[in-house]
Amino acid sequence: MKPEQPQDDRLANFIFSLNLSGLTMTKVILWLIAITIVSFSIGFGILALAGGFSPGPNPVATPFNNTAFLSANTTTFPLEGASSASVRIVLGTGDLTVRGGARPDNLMEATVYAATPGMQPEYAVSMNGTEKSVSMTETGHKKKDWVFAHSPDSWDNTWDVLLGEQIPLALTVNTGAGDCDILLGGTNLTTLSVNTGAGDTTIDLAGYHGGQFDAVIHNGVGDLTLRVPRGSNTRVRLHQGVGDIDTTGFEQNDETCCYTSAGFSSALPVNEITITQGVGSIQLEAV
Amino acid sequence: MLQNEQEYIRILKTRLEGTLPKDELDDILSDYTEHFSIGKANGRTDEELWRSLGSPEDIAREIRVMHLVKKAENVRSCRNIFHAVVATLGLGLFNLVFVLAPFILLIMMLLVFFLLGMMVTFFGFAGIVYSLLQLIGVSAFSVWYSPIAGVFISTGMMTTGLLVVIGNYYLARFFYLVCIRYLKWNISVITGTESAP
Repeated sequence: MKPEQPQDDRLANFIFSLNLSGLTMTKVILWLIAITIVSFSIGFGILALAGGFSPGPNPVATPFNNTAFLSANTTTFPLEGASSASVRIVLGTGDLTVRGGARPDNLMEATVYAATPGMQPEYAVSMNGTEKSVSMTETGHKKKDWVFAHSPDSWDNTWDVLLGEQIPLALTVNTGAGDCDILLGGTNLTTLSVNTGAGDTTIDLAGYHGGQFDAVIHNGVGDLTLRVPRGSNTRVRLHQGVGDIDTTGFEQNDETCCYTSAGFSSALPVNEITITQGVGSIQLEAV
Repeated sequence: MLQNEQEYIRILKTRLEGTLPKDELDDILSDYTEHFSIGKANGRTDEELWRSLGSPEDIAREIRVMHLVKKAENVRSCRNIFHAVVATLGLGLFNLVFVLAPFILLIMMLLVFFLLGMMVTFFGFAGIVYSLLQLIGVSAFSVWYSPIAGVFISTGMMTTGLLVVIGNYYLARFFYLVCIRYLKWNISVITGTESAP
């Protein structure tokens, strides 16, 4: 029978079996450099393939979830029999995403990511007949102190709002400083009013199959991207201060600063969009 | 105070005992004894020889510094270089500025690099753990946009941290040698034995 080895001998044998004698510091450093380069290449490669660096409406540009280190709080507003609705969102500083995709029995699902857990917006809900109104306002906004009333942490304020896609909706969005992504391809709009201060704004209506709507967009400083479906019979009137205009799938009308989607007919219901831009480029896309 | 050979040798011995090894101390004392003997044979007095050699306290201080610097050069250790730097301060107060201040700055810089490397290594390791937990579906750890990318990026971070720590070791070795050369130059300037470049 083989005698049991003492514990120390087993460890010594194991280390000996690793044959580390040929492992010099130079080899260790070279291995570490190789592992570092390969790891970063694969890691950022996967991140790029996953869409992290693509110029879409939500570019990540960091390997982390942009809300990963913020506390989240979700508030849900059920439809409660409403056949139409109006939603008003007012955010002073922070990033805002508004999109369709709320559960069928909900009008709105608002998730607020904030560095300070106590920093939550004020909600106001009212019902007028079968029209339901929801207002979501940043607490500091009423005091007109968007910028200076909060600690620098309050800039880490991200709102993610899901809207119901079942009923006609009048949407008003007012933001101060921060990026704003409004992705409403699946919703049914009656009016859309967007008023932004500083920051990039994307309004994506690609795939929109809802009813005719009118939209008024005021963008202060920052780039604006407006995307509508190719056959949506849309007319865009532009009033721009300083910046470039780039259009894809739009035709410039005889009227100055008026663009129409391909196949536009004024005899059909028209989606009228009026854009007033201060400083920044405008990208119009009919996709 | 009597300025004779015995007193000179006694002061030297008292100041150098405990710093120098016995054989080295005996060599030095015998050199000075011989110096006195030759001088007296040539008709010079103890006082004259004392004045020509210089104060035994200063001589002992210089011998001590040179010995400690040589020791730090031969046996590399934090303790030896620290003793050498402290001993050099005894050669003149201005060395607080010319030796101690750069030495402390150097130590601080190496410490910052070391801590930075350790921190990056730690965060890399934590990133791997978070990625794996996210991969198995623990939502509380969902910090990565893509957990698989997170595993690789964290691994890269961890190895980068280790490289910084290893680089810091080599940097410390390099600065150790620079420090020894600087101390030697400093001593030669103070004792007036600096050779022309």
